[in-house]
Amino acid sequence: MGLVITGWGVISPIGIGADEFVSGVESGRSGRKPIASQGGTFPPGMTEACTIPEFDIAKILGTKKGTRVLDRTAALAVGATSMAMRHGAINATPAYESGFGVVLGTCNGTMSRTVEYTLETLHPEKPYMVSPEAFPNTVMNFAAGQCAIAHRLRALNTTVSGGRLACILALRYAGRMLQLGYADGVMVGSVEEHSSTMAWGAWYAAKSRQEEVPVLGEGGAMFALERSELAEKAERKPLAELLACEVGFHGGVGGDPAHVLAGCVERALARAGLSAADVSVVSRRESGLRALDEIESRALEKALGARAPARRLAVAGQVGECFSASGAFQVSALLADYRSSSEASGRVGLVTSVTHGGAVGCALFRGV
Amino acid sequence: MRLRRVVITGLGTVSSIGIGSRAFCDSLRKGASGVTTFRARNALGFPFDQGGEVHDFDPSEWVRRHDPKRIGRSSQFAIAAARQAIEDAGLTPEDLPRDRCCVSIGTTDGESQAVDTLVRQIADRGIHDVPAPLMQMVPADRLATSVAREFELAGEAITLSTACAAGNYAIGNAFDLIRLGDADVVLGGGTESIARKSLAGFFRLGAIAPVACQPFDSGRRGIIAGEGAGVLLLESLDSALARGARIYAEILGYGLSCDAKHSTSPDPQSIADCMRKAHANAGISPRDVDYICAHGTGTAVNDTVEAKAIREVFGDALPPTSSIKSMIGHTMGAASALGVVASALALKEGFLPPTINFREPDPECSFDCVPNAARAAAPKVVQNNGFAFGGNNAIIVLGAAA
Repeated sequence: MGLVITGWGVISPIGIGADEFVSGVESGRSGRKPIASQGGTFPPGMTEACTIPEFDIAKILGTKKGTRVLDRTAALAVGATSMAMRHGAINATPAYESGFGVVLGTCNGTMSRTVEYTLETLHPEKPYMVSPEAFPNTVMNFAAGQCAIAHRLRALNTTVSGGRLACILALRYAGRMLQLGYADGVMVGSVEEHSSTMAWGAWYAAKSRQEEVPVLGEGGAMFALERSELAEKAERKPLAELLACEVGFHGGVGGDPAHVLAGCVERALARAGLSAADVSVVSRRESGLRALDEIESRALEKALGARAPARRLAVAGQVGECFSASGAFQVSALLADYRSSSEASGRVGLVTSVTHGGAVGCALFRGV
Repeated sequence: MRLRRVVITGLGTVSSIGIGSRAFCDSLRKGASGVTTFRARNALGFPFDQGGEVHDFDPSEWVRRHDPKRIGRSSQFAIAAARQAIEDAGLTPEDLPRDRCCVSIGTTDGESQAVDTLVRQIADRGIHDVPAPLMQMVPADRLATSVAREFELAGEAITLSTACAAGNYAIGNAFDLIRLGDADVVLGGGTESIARKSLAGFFRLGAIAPVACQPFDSGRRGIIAGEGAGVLLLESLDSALARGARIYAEILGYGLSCDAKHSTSPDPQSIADCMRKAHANAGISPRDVDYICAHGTGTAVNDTVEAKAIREVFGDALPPTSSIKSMIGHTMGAASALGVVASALALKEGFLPPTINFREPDPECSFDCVPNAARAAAPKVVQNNGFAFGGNNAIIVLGAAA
């Protein structure tokens, strides 16, 4: 059965919405800006980030209604979902509300709110004088639940905590949901907010590995994923076909994560009935984290051979290190590439991801 | 699409009523309560002090490939329960088909105690001066990857953070992986450790019971927070038969739904819908269900809504329905996983776990809640409910081993 992407909503430091994102990629626009000093202190030397100060959820939704309760992570998710649904005219399908679900990739939800909330519980006399309304935001599935509430999407709702691999894990899970008939369509993707908490987390991680701290970013994307025959019936034009997602883990003693990632790529190609030579474009993480980039390079060399694919996309330089949103931007870069080209049809694209923890994976697409 | 049948051949349990499924089973049969006065630092200072804490858990007994101090309590629980499940299935970690063995773990708050400790350090020393290893424990994806690392597994390692239904989500996902032939063995379940923000948050919502959890009782006052982990070893029926494994139960199917209405109040229609989807997926009808292992948190609203949904789907033919949360409290991401363990034991050992602390029936919850004492029975089909904030629902249907 074919799975296709029929809607795309992207909120990025180089543009909000598919059109702006595509032009941002094409022009090489940088998303870097000085960090505005709202919300907490930042690590020493961290003065820039690829933030999205112009992001306004009420503007995207066309109403302020329901937006007060949204933290930034939830707002990004709801915004991207709404944009993707509009983009694909998903609401044109009868009973889409009961047939569509949501699968959202994340690290830990909104860590900034969770830390804030927990800090308030340290009050010596009244540790429970926390805001009851703010509690649900601190649960990791809050954003996905808000996406569902915004559009009454009732088929299913799943949150995947996958770190940098979150989007690929979410796509793989969503694909299974469609294959097995738990839903007719899934709004799937991942988002990450920029915050002082995440910034310090990244700083500590980099220091402990003696690596340079990357420029951080935020944003994300959601995609409408559905079975091709349903998309055809609804007369929705696919943006790309999702051919396969394969993931693996290397974090054991000995062995080689590049080897595991290469195995994922080989399995994905085998599933799609393709060979290494068929891959024309690779959308890499390539985020400037030396150790991870090196694993990715070796894996691609092993899986695709020394002959490099025709095109190599790496959008991280423009949008920053976005943790769980990184996969969403990589997929978006591929969709942008398909859109920019007159020969996208049949062009096979590969998205790869590597994490420090040892989980790796890839997703294989074909232009239509 | 030819789908394989999926069975449970190993059980692993970390709970306030027993570490190990033998101890857990004995406690369920006895109607033992694991609720005690809180000891852990992160649970202190609130105007309530009863919880389902796991005492006497020694991580060094279970965690071999990590320095236990470098992973959080929830990961330690998950590793312990996974190790038990592997052994219980008659296997060693080396027997597992590494490339075709996946890990699927559910949670509500991830490494919550690492977060609690981190926040305390931030308050005391400032965010610029906290221990780096503590920061590195925090990402929730570590729950699944810690298990994968511990047993050197190379397949999908996924953490599903679907709040208080997460155990069912993770086990359902494990079921799908094997059904489709994407994996041959999956360690699937849920884990949780007591989280300070949850104690505060639930208390502020008026949802914490002062003394005991009393599901379906008219005097029920809310949840008792608990912790623990339940992990199963799942494989295909063919694989289990081929190696002569003891089969606890078969997973017949599961259903998912989302309320899409309110972030905390459950919707009986959506829950009823989830039950119907679970039955359809499992190929059964309501009259086939012999026992429901309820979500049964003990809050006024959950139990009323759950009862309403059950009546909607089952009509007058209400199966006995009990809540193990009466014994172990609400273990959040582990809750429905421990529910699957209890359901598997009910099917295998032939008994229904009780709802303890039951004194006064609530006319809105008019089913047989197996009050106070476990009961011998011969269930063939069991339904395990899991609902959550955010309205993401998951219900698993299990059948007796053929």
